[in-house]
Amino acid sequence: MKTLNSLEYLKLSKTQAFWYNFKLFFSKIPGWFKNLFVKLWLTIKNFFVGIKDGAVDIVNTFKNGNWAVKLSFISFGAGNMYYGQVMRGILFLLFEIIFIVYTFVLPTGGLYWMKKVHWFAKGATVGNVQGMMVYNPVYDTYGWQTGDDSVRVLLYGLLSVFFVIAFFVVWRMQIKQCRINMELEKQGRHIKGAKDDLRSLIDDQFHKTLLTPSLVGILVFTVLPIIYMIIIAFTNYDSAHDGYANLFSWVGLDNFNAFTDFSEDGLGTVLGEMVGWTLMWAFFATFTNYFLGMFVAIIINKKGIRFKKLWRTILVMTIAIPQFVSLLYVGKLFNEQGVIGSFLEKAGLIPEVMLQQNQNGLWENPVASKILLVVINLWVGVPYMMLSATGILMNIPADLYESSRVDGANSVQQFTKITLPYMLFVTGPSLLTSFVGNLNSFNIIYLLSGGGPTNMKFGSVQGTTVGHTDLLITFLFKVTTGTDSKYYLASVLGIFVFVLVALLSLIVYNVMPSTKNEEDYA
Amino acid sequence: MKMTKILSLVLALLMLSVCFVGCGEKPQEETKAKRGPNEVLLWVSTTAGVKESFEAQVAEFIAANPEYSQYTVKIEAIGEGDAAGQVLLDVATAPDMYCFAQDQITRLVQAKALAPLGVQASAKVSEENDAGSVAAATVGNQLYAYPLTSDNGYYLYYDSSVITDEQAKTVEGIIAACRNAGKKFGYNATNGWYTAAYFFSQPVGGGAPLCTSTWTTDDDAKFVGVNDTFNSANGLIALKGMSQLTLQTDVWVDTADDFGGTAAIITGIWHANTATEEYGDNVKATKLPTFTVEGVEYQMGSFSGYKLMGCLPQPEGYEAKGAFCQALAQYLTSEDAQLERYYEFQWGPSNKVAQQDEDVKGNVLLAALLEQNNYAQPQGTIEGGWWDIVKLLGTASATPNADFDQALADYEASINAKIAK
Repeated sequence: MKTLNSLEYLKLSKTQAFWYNFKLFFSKIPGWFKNLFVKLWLTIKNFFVGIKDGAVDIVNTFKNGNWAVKLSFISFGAGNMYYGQVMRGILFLLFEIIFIVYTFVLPTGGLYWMKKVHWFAKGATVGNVQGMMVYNPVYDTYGWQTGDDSVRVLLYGLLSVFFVIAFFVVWRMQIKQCRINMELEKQGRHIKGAKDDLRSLIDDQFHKTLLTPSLVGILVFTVLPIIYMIIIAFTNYDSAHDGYANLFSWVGLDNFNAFTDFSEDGLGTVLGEMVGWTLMWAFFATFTNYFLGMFVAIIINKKGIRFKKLWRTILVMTIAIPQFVSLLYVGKLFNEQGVIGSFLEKAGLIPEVMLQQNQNGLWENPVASKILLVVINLWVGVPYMMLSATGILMNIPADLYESSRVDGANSVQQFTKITLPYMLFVTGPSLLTSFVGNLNSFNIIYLLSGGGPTNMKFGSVQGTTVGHTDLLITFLFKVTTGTDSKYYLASVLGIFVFVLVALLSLIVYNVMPSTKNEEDYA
Repeated sequence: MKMTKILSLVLALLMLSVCFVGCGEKPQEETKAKRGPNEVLLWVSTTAGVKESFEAQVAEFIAANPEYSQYTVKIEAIGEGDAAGQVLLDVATAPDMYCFAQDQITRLVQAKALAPLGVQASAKVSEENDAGSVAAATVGNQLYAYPLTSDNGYYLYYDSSVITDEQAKTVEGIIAACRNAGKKFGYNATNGWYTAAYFFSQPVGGGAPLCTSTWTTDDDAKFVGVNDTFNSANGLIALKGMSQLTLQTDVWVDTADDFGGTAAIITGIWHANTATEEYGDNVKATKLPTFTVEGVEYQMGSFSGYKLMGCLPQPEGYEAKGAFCQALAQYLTSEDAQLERYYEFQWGPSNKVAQQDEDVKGNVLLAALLEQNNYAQPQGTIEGGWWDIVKLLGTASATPNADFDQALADYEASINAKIAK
C-alpha cells in the first residue's frame, strides 16, 4: 500500500488516519514473516556454507600436510606434537584413547548403550531386556529378575551420543590447529608451546578459562535435560511404561498426531479451548495490571496527594508476603465459607443463574472464577507495575508537559500523547516478557482455582480432568501428576507451549516501538 | 587487575565444583539405598509411637526366630497415604517393606513394586483376615499384600441431645429432628466416596445391594473391564433417595469434615476427636440410617477401606532376604500384632480372630464401623477417574428438576470410556 509522507498524513481526518494506521499495521505483517524467513534461510545457508568451507579446509590440510599432519587424521595430536606442542598433543591423544576405550572396548560402554536405545525405531523398546517377576520354589516367594531401565538406557545412550559429537568436534579442532601451525611455520612465526598456552589461558584467552566451567554446567544441566525431554515426546513414557517395570518404546509421531484429534473430546478440541483461555488470560492479566499499575502510580505521583509514602508502602506490602501464602489465603476469602463469598451469598448478590446450576461458590462457576482470577491477579501484580511506573513517570521530561499545556492540551491528551507513548516505548520489552510470563503463570491459577471448575463437556481427558480455568501449563502439571502420569504428553505440551510463546514473542517484538524507532526518545 | 582475575576464576571453578558435588552425592545415596543382603528397610505410619511399636515387634520376631538373627531392620516413618508416591519415585531403591492405603495397590502392582505372596502365605492370609481386606489386597487373582487394618470406612455421628436414637435410624428422622432444632445434617454427596453410599444401599430385611461397581484388572493391573450397574432402575431409586436429602437445602450440608452447625454427620473414625469436641458428651455413633423410596425401606451402604503391608520384589542374589521380608510381614500383620496395635493406637484389626476380641467389640466407634461394614462394599481397585465421574451423580441429585435418567446415562458413558481408552 502507498505510504504517505507526514504532510499528507496530517491532512487526513481522524477516521482516515485510524484506517490508514490500521491498514499499515496489517500490510506490514507479511513483511515481518518475509524477514523472518529470509533470516532463517540465511542462517541455514550460512550453516551449510560453513560445513562446506570446513570440509574444503580439511581436505586441503590433508593434501598439503606432512606425514605428521596426515597421521593426526587417525591419531589425534600427532600434528601438534610434530610442531612442538607436546602438551596439546598428549591431551588430544588422551581424549581419543578414552573415547575409544569407553565407546568400543568397555562391555557396557558407549556402543552398548547407543545400540540399546533403538533410536526412534517405531515400535522398538528403549532397552532390550524386560525385567520380570520370578517364582522361587525354595522359599515360596517371588523375586525380581532385573532387566533394563529405559530411563537410564536413554540417558546413557544420549550421553554417549554427546561424547561422539565431542569426538568429532575435537577431531576437527586438532586438524584446524595443524593447519594453523603449518601456516605459522611457513611464515616463520613462533608456534605456541605448552608454556605459552598456559600463560595465555590466564591472559589473552582468559575469557575461555572463565567460560569453560559455566559452559560445561549449561551443557550438563540445561542442554542435556532439554534434549532428553524433547526425545521423551517420541516415546510412550508414562506410569504404565515407566521404564523399569515395563520398558517404554518409540511411537514415532503418534503423540503429535493426537493433537490433531478434533473430535468431541479429542485432545485437539480440548487444547483449542485451553489455548483460547490461555491467551485471553495472558492478555487480561498483563494489560489490566499494566494500566491499573500505571494509573495508581500517576495518582500517587500527582501534586497535592498527601502521604505518598504511606500509599506506596501499603501497596508494596503485598510483595512482602510470599505469593503462594497470600494467594491461597485470598482464594479462600471467595469460597462459599469465606468472608467475601459468604457475604455475597447472604446478601443475595450471587447471580440467579449460578444458583440454578447449583453452583454455590464463586469458584464453581466458570465465568465467575475467570473474572476472580484476573481480579486477584491485579491485587498481586499492580504493586510491581506501580513501582516501575513510578520511576519511569518521573523520568519523562517535564518540559514536554509544559509545552503541551501552553499549546492547550488537556490532561487526557497529555496522557495519550505523552505519557502512554513514552511508557510503551520504555516498558515494551518488559510488557512482552510479562505477557509470556502470564502465558505460563502456573502459581496464580493453580493456587487459586486449581484449574477448576471441571469442564463437564470433556470430563476426564488423558487421565486427568480438564478445568475451565486450566492454562496449558497447569494442564501439563495435571497430566504429569495425574493417575496415568503421561510424561510423553507433558513433553509434547511443553514443545507446544514453546512454539506458541516463540511465535507470539517474534510477532510482538517486531511491532514494538522500542525495537524500531530507537532514536525516538533517546 | 590481577586480583579480579583470580577472584573470577575462583568463583567460576567454585560454580563448577558445586555442580559436580551435587552430582557426586547421587552415587553415594544409591549405595546407601541399595541395602546389603542383611539390611531391611521398613516404612510405617507417621503416627506418634507407631515406629517404636513396630521396632519392638520386629525385635520380638527376630528373638523368636534365631535363624533370622543376621538381619537388621531399620524402620522409618512415611505416611501410608503417600507411600506409593514415594515408592514409585524409584522402585529399584524403594524400601524393602512398606505400609500403604489400599487404593494405591494398582499403581504399585503395575510398577512391579509389590512381590506377590507365595502359595502358603496366600492361603494363610485369606483364611485369617476378613473378606473385604483380602479383596483389597488382591489384584487379578493374586494376593500382593498383607492386610494391616480394617477401619477405613464411614458411619453416622450424631448429637443425641438433638436426635434421639430412634430418629437416628432413618434419614427422615434425622431431617425432621435437625429441622426442629435448626441444625444441619452433613453428607458429602458430591464426593464420590460418599456418593456411593446410596447406590450400595440394600432393602431392609435382606436382599442384594441396589447397585455394584467393580473394576477388573489384568495381572499387570491394567483396567480391562467394569461391572457397574448404577445406570438402572435400582440406580434411579438410589438417586431419588439421595435427592430426598440433598434437596432439603435448609438441613443438608455437603460436607464430611465441617461439623459447624450440624447435629449429624456421615464421616469416619479420623473425626472421632472432632465429634467429641463438637457434640460433647452427647456424641453417639452408629451405622448409617435407612431411607424410604416408593414405600420400600433401604439401608444405606458404604465403602470399607484397608491399610496393607507389602514387600518389594528382591533382585537376584537376595532371595533369602525376600523370604525374610515375607515372614516378617506375616508376623507384623498377625492376630497378636494387630491386637497390640489396637490397644496402643485404636487401629481396627483386619484379623478375624482379633475382631472377636472383647475390647475390640466393646469400642463404640469400631462397633459402629463393624456394624456398617455388614452393608459395606470393600473398596477394590478403582480406576482413578471414577472419583470425578461419580461426583456428577451427587451434583445431579442436589439439582432441582434434574434429569436423573440423563445423569445416569452420562455416568455410564463416562466410565465405559475409561475402559475403551
